[in-house]
Amino acid sequence: MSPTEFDLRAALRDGEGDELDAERVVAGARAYRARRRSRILSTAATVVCVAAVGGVVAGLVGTGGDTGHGSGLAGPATAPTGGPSGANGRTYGAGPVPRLNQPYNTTTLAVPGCPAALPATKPPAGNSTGELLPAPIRSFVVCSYGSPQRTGGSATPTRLLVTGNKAVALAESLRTAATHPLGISCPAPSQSRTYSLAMIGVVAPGRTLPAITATFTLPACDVVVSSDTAVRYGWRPPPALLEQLGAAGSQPAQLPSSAVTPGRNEGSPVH
Amino acid sequence: MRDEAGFRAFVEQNGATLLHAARLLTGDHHRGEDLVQTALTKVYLKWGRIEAPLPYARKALVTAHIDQSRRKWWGERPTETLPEQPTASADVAASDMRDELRRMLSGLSARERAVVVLRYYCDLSEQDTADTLGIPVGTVKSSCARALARLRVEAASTSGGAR
Repeated sequence: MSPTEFDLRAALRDGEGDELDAERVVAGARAYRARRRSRILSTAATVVCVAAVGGVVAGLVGTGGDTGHGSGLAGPATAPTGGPSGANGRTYGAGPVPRLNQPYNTTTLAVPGCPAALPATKPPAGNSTGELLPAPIRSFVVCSYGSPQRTGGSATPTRLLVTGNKAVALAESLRTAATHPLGISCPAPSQSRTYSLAMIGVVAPGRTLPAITATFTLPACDVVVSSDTAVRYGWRPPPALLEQLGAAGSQPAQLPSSAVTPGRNEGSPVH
Repeated sequence: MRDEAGFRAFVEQNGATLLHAARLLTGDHHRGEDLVQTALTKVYLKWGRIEAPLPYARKALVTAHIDQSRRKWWGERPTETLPEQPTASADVAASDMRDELRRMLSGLSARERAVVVLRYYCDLSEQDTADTLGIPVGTVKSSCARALARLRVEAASTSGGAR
């Protein structure tokens, strides 16, 4: 058998004639179109959701990112202030801050700036039962103004970002400070320099508490810390903070008054 | 879809031809129905935006057929030896030559089969066949010649085996 084109045409046409059900075709096409639209909508919804989540994440990262203010803050380092200068115990630099226990990333974090000069707090007179830290603290920005005698009180402050366990320790030391004057005798200062700190508690990204100030001379003894709403006595700076200050060059690391020579310390221990 | 009545009329007018072409392409009754449904669905979605529905439907048909034949899970491969080779006891002389020819189509590749169906069933010119398949006219000619040669060889071997 050697089929000719005629045979082939005839063979191909053989058996034709089955009608196609148009209704069935249309129904199938409609179902396909509905499925396709549903798929497109679900895909679009997924894309929108992913974009929204991405936007939120980007926003969160952005709020934790370096906005340029205080970008020179590299750990404990001196940096120009990014917040309002000379404010009196108010919140400073509404810039974002890292969360507590978050790894310290100097390149992506922006923190509240330091006032140009130590804020002048107006604590209530006498004993104070007010709260130094009325809200849970995520971190602290500690501004160290060094020795007023040496700098005239207007030197560029050293700014430290205290996070994690160090922030917890600092908050705990502030909360456990006495609410009334201890009335103890302190040893003669081992140094002539007096150091002034402004501690700005960060409760949330962009939200800070009024500054808490403290001025002391090493060895620290019966240090008074105050804010606009409360005053505490006998504050003992956490050793970690002193070490951080020392590393920053603000002052040498030194233990607080608990290491005072007994013979010269006529008072009782603070705590 | 605005002109669904027009689409229905198109299906009623050309559906039988397209369905038969799809069965020839697939070599299977039911897969042919699936194939024509796929092609007509594409026409349905484009209805109102295509100027020549029938060529579009033909193109959709052969494109879908070739695409399906490329998918591994179809497992469709042209073979030198047809799986349904009749035995000597199944008297070839008793079988219809037309059925035999259609059966031999399954031994062709998907593109060769499409060329044969378009050229000899749909009666398209070589140029129209080339346009429908999106291949050069020369490829249509060579594919057609190769397909016919293979059909002749198959037919000769079948009739030889039957003797």
